[in-house]
Amino acid sequence: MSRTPRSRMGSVVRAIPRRLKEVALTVGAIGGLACIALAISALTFGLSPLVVQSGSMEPTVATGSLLITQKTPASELKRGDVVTVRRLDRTLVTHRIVQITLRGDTATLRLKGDANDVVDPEAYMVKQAGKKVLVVPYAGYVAAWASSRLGLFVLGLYVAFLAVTVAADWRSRPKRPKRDDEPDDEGPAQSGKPAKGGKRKASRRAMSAAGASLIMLGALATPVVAPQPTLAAWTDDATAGSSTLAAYTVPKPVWVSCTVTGVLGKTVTVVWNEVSSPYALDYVASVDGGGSLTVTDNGATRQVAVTSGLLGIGTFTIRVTARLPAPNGSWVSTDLTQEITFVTALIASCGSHN
Amino acid sequence: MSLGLALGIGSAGTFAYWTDEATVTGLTITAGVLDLELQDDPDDSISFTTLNISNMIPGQSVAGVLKVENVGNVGFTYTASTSVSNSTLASALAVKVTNGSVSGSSPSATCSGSQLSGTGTDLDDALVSTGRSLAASASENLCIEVSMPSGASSSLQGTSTNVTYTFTATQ
Repeated sequence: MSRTPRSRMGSVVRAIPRRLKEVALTVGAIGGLACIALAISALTFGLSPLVVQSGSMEPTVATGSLLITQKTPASELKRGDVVTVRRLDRTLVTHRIVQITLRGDTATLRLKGDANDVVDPEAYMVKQAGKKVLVVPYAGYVAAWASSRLGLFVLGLYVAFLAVTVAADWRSRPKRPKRDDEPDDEGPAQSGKPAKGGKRKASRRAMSAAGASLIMLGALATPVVAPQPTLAAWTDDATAGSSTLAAYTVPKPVWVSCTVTGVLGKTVTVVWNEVSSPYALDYVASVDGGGSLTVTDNGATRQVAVTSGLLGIGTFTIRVTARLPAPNGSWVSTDLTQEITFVTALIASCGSHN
Repeated sequence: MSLGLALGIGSAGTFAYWTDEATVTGLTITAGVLDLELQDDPDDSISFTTLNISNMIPGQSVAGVLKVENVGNVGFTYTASTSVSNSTLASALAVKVTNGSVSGSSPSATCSGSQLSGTGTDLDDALVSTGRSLAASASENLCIEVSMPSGASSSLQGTSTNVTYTFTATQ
């Protein structure tokens, strides 16, 4: 660019010092080459640029970095890789793989931010992920700015300026036929020097046309050039605990006594204590082979009585059960058992109880 | 050469297409702090015993309010899970999460309001499975009601479970 001949046209352009123009052109050329190189590498190597929006991967990946990732199949990912994956809500997140399970061509990833205490709550199922290739600190801020409407507008202006500079220089070299058919009233106001000929007017027209179209192009391009934002998302945990919830145990009735009474017909009486309970417990009693028995409430104790006339001869087991009042009668205690034996109608005895 | 930049802008557009992504406007970069706080306690592990109950029988319920607050400077969404020591009992206990307040007292305390969507229905479930958003400095009260449904099995007698609620905030 240093060989650019001196412009003889375009007072705006000419008014700018040559050195500044050269710098601007050089920067433009480098920027342009970088953009072209990025575009080619993106297409060739599956690279994509991401702007890191937050700091959970610090210090590896700082907030505001430009992160370049490469599309990598799930089978080539491994624990410890820093990858960018898509969350359920379609946003991108960049974290480190702490666990990877490969099934077929799909990997289930558990990711964690280096600066986070906890692993991400969701597991990510991916066929491919963007693996970190390069981190350029602070470049994300530049990229984010360049993608903003203002940034694009400024870039558009810059490109317009470059185009005009080049056009002016190009126009100045070869001789062009004059064109004198244009009105004189559309030149830029800042042009302090009088117009000398059609060439100059034509170049001004070209300048403004090129500038306007490039700015419009820039404005139109706004929605499509934004680099992808990625969250190096923070997570934070807080726990509340622990509460203890305990279900009630219906207590087993407590045995008090078993006695045999009567002379001609023997009666066996089993007595147990009511157990202390926050609930008004019911007590039910039964005897094997004899069905349910009537429970008598004595206040602090309760009892049942059986006679040989009821049961006949033999050994029987009396069972006593405490239960919750309705509607929770299915919650019962373990049984208190008492063995009794009628040898004859006149001889009876209490066996063991449990 | 300088026109390369113009080309570059054009090329950059291909990134967006190539990554098959919708446009992003208002790209923001935040150097922020993400911090979820419970019960106004800066400690990340708070004691919460409001739901303690012993001698629980079918038909009884306990309820307590947990205040969840975003004390950072960026918005987050949070989920909450339970970790229990006895999943048999925990899965038999019904849970209802509302934005209401506690009415009544143990063992017949309940939460007013209707069950929030995306919240668990038993104690062995994730308490809040669908992320709830809280803007910076915003807070909400979660009323948690745990009940033993009538008809719960007698085999649960004598069992007990500890339960810890873990809230995870994600940007």
